[in-house]
Amino acid sequence: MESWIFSNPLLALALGCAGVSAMLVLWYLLRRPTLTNATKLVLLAAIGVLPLATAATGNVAGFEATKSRRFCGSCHVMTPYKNDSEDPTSKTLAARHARNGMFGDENCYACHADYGMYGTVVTKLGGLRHVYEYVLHYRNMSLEEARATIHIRKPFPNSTCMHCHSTDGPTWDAVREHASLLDRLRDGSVSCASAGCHGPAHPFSKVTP
Amino acid sequence: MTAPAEATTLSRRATIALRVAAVLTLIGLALMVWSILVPTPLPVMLAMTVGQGFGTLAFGIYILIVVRQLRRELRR
Repeated sequence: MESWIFSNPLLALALGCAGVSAMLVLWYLLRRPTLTNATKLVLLAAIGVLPLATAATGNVAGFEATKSRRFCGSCHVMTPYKNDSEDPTSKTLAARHARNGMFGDENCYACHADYGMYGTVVTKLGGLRHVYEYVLHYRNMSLEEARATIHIRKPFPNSTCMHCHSTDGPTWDAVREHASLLDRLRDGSVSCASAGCHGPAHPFSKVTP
Repeated sequence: MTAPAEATTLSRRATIALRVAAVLTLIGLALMVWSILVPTPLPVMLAMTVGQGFGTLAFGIYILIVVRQLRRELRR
C-alpha cells in the first residue's frame, strides 16, 4: 500500500469507512440474518452512514487529487506539458511556477483555475469538457499530432496572474516594461505570457498577442 | 427455529430489494475506493457519478423498506 494514503487522514478515513462498510454488507449477504432491530442498525451503518462518510471524505480527497499535476498529466496528450513542468532546467513559466513552493505539484491548477466565488465549480465543469474532448478527439492521437493541435480554449487572462502579481507592488513597478505597459496589462490587450515578456507558458504554447 | 420476537418478516420482494441494495453498496464502495487509490480522471468521474449514484439508490431502497416495515408494524 502506498504511504501517501496514510499520510492523508482523509484518505485513511475514507478507506477505513469503506472497509468496515464492505465487511458489514458482506456479512449481511452471506449470513442472511433475520431483520431484527439490531440488523437494521447494522444495515443503517453499512448502507447509509459509512458509505456516506466514504463519499464525503472521498469527494474532498478526489477534488484535491484533481488539482495535482499527476492528475492533469494522466491523459497522455498532457505528458509533454507535465514533463516540462517537472524539468528542473526548464525556463518556461509553467516550470518556474512548479519550482515555486507556493504552487509545487498544483501548478497546473494554480494557473488554469477560474478564480472567484464559483471558480472551483466553473473549473471542474471546464475539466469535464476536457474529458469529453479527450475521449472523443484526442484519445488515440499521437503526441506530435496533439502537440500541434491542442490549444487553450480562450486567451489566458492576465487577471489569473494578477491574483498573485497584483501589479501594485514596488518590485513590480520597478520593472520599466511593467510601468510602460501597465494599462494594457490590466485590460488584457498584452498578455503576460506573450513570447516577448514572460512566455511561452509551455514550450509548445501557441502564439499569444 | 422461530425468529426473535422483535424480528420482522420481510416479503420476498423486500428481501430481494435489500440484497440488491447491499450489492449496489458494494459496487459503489468499490468505485469510490478505486478513485482514492488511482486518482485519475476516469476513476474519479465514475466514483462521483456512478459510485455515488449507486450508493444513494441503495440507501434509498433501505430507507423505503425500513419505513414500510415500521408503518406496517404501527398499523398492527
